[in-house]
Amino acid sequence: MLAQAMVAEEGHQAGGPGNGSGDSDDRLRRRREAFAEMYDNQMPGIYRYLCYRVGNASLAEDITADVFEKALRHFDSYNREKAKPSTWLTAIARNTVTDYFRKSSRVEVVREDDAPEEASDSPGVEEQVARLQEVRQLKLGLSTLPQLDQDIISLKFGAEMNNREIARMLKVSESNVGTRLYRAVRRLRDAFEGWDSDTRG
Amino acid sequence: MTRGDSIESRFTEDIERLLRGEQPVSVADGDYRATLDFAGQLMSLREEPDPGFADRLRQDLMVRFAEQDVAASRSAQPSLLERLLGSHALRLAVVSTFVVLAAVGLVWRAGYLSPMMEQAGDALTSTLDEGGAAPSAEMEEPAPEMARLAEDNAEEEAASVALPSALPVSVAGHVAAANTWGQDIEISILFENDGPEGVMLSPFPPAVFVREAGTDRIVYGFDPGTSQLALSSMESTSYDIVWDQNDWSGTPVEPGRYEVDVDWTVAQPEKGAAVFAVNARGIAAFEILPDSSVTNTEE
Repeated sequence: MLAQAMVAEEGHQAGGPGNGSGDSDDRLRRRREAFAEMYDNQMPGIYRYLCYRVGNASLAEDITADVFEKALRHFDSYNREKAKPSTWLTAIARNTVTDYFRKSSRVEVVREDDAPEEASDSPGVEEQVARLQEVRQLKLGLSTLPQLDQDIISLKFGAEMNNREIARMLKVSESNVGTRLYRAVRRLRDAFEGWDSDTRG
Repeated sequence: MTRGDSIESRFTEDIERLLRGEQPVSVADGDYRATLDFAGQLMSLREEPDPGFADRLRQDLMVRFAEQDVAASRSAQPSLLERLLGSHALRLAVVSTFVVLAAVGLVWRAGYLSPMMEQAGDALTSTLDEGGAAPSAEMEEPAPEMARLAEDNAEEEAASVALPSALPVSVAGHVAAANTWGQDIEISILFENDGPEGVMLSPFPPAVFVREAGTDRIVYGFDPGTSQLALSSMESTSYDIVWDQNDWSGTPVEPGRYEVDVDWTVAQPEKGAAVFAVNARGIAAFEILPDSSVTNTEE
């Protein structure tokens, strides 16, 4: 059904009968180039957003691949006038990560493979371990925030969206995004300071 | 503007400066400064994708893109028959021949031609008797062949009509009849094996589409899973999904009436290779209302 729609749309875009195979090849090449350009420009942001959401690099890679496969399948129905590529792809990424959490019925944010490895004799390893512990604690702290705040932080720091874009995506007001962002970071800071003093003291 | 608003908007501006690699505007407020420093720490969680992963995924996607294009252009290419029928004269000739043959076939089956053929047969026999050329078998064969074709066609039509009732699995969708615009919509799809034998649903979960009612415009689709699900006789299962009312591009759809379609296949392992491909359209319908006056009745 979708494939038919896609083919029909392609026929329409191609300008109907009379187009030679050269025109058709050109159009396919342009589409492929447009998709490749979108991938090159947007993939890092999508990946960073997913890293914040799932807190795990290999899982973020898997979901990034899912996101771009979906984008590939629906590229012909994507309307650039309705949404910027970053907005469209981030919406797909949000839905995909939500589906992932729903299907897996768990809110696993930090997996064991993120835990610091055992210390070795190499120089600077203590700092490395401390840094890994800090990162892990930050990820854990992030996972304790309400879903909406996690989304705001991930969209802001990962996808680098402005408050207006975040507001449109999350269907909240722009001022609400700013308020929640500040309060969420502050709450996380308080929690992190508590943890930090516990581990040091 | 309140103090709170001012701090929060300043915080957003400073975060955006940090993201651009610029320095935030220096501030005296210790608490604000500490929060901003912590935001810097949060920013350090940013991980760039591994270049190897980025390249592999890009390559894989480009290959798939090319495959998709090839498949699309194949299905868009006219078949030999379509190309032949593209010629007006040829089209006229083919259609005329088909109409004449169909008419002859119908008349033949009705038996009107039998006396004439008998007469013709008599005439041919007499011609043979008179040393004429032997009658070609082709003269007799078209009629039974056409009859057989007509019978085959009749069976095919009957099968395609009978298919839904032969389907051993029933499917029903449940969605709140009226929903507020912008709110998540829960869609529950119930599959029930009404037959006496086990069936296999594949893929499971199935592909589910939300379509604008009364049209073929799919506004959103849920990807099918990659597994299968076995249902024994009289067993049922439900598949629940939540639609956030966004279309493919992530934009909220317009208020209006929508329907749910499900695509999947049912195999009956006990009956060998019996497989039914099912495109169940409109298993549930619902309304997205522009205001909050919602009645929570289920379909």
